[in-house]
Amino acid sequence: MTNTEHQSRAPLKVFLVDDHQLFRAGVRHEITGTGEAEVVGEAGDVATATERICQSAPDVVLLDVHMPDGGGPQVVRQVLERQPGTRFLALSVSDAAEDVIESIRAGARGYVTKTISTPELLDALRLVAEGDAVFSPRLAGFVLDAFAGLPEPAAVHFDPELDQLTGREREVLRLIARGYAYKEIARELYISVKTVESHVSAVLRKLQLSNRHQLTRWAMERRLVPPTP
Amino acid sequence: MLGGVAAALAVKLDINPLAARIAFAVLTFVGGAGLALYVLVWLCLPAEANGHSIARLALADGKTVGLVAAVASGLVAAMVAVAALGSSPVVDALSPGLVSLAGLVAVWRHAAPEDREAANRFALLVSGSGPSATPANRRALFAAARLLAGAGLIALGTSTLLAPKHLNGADLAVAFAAIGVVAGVSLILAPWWLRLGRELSAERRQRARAEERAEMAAHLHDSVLQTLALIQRSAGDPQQVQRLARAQERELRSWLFDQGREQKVEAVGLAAALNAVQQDVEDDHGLRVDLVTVGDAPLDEDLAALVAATREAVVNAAKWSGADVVFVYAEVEPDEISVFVRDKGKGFDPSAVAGDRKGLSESVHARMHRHGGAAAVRSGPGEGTEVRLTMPKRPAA
Repeated sequence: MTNTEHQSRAPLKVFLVDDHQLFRAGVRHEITGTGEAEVVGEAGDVATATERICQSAPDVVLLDVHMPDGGGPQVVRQVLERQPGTRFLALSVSDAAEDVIESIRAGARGYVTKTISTPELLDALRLVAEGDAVFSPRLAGFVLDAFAGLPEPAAVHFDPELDQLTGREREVLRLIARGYAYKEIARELYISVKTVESHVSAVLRKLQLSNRHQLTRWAMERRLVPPTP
Repeated sequence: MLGGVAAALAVKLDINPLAARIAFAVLTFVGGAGLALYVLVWLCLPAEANGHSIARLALADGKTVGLVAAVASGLVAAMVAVAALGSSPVVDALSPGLVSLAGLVAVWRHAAPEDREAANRFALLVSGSGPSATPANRRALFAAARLLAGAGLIALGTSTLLAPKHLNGADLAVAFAAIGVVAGVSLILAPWWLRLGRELSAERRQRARAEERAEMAAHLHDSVLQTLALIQRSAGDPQQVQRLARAQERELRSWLFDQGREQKVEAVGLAAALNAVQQDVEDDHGLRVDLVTVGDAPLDEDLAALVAATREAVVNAAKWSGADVVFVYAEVEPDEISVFVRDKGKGFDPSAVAGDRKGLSESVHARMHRHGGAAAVRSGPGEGTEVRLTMPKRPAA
């Protein structure tokens, strides 16, 4: 997450989706406080969110991955069907790898935890609005974990282009997991920030398109809440 | 024993229920008085559930009073007839049985409602107006058969009591008669007892649910409500509020999701151990620890040292860096395990470390070296600090 000056630009149009009204109010207060962003709409359930997002055409949608009626991933899928250009940043209290991966695979361009600080959140929103991908340390860890080990050679649909990370991508993800911002990664690896961003976008694409069997299995194993208590 | 009367009486009189049961049994076999007494007590003791004795219910119902009177008078008539024929001992033996029969009518009137329903169905079936062979009808038939058998047994027992020719072996005859009556009564009242049992177990289930609820309420009170109160009181101190909220969230989460796994031995793996470090430091120092682990490994001596060194490095960052978040990244690779502890705080010049930073070199470096690992510190004034800890993985023995 870069620390570029944003104040000079037009405020970011943000749409909030979260079934907790209190949380929406908190986020709205935080991100609009500096004038960097404005909230163009809010919704607390899947149907309303889909409808209103399509009407208000925000720069970026900030949505909670855990929601009733199919949750965040459902909103992402439904909106992208009608307006493919919409950009989503997923947000969650933490931990539930399955929900996070599902949101990303549905089309969200990034994931941050709810513990994120306001400046970090604004940076992340800005990046996603501009078409970049945003990986929090936790998401980077999820991805490294999911793509760890050798892929099964017997996998029918195995595609090395999609089902494996390159060494460079792995390095970038490791640095993200260690808490490095894109700028710091660029300095560390002697590459440009743009190159870092393109590596992250490539990982995002793999995450969304990979058929890698482990991805699902891994997410299942990581699932914190048992399916039926 | 049967209607739980002995036990209830025992409670009432504050004596041993076994003693009450034996007393009833003995009295039953000696002239059948025990049986009469049993039924009487049954009538008069209030049911635990609603606090009303059957006698009270029966008296409130005019029809029952009439019925009891009718049966009793009929029986008295029979007794008088028998007395006219034979000797007085017969009357002595009979009277308790008669009293019990009269009482049973009252009991029956206020016993299981499904029995009366079954009887009605049976009446319909016999009169040919109801559909046949439905499960309900079969049930009705069964109930009717049961009732008939019960009534037959009672009749048999009573008639034995009434028959003068058995008077020679009086005691034995009375005993058989009593057994017959008891068996009949048991047959008739079986569904009622079953229902009582079912109600009892339903009540027990309900109590279990209530206990669970109470436990949950107690837990929420001890944890969430306390924390909310604390948060309100420390509203002026955002760091304290954050610390409280975070600790509470973690506690609640583990209580909600880990309940089934409580038996498991805690913190056996590297990830779990690092999680504990994260929690402790967040609680003690009020800053955020962003922990990411990739892979996991069982905790051996070497990894325990690695965890201890990590803790030291995180605490150091919390104390000295001035940053409000520390990143911890741990990765388990086939031949090596590495942990990175990074903060974006003020940093320092590692070559000019003074005595007060001894903690790092002593407990981190030395500890890692002792276990065959390594520690490297990268820092510079204004650049934050990163501690890199590596521990070679021992080949599986």
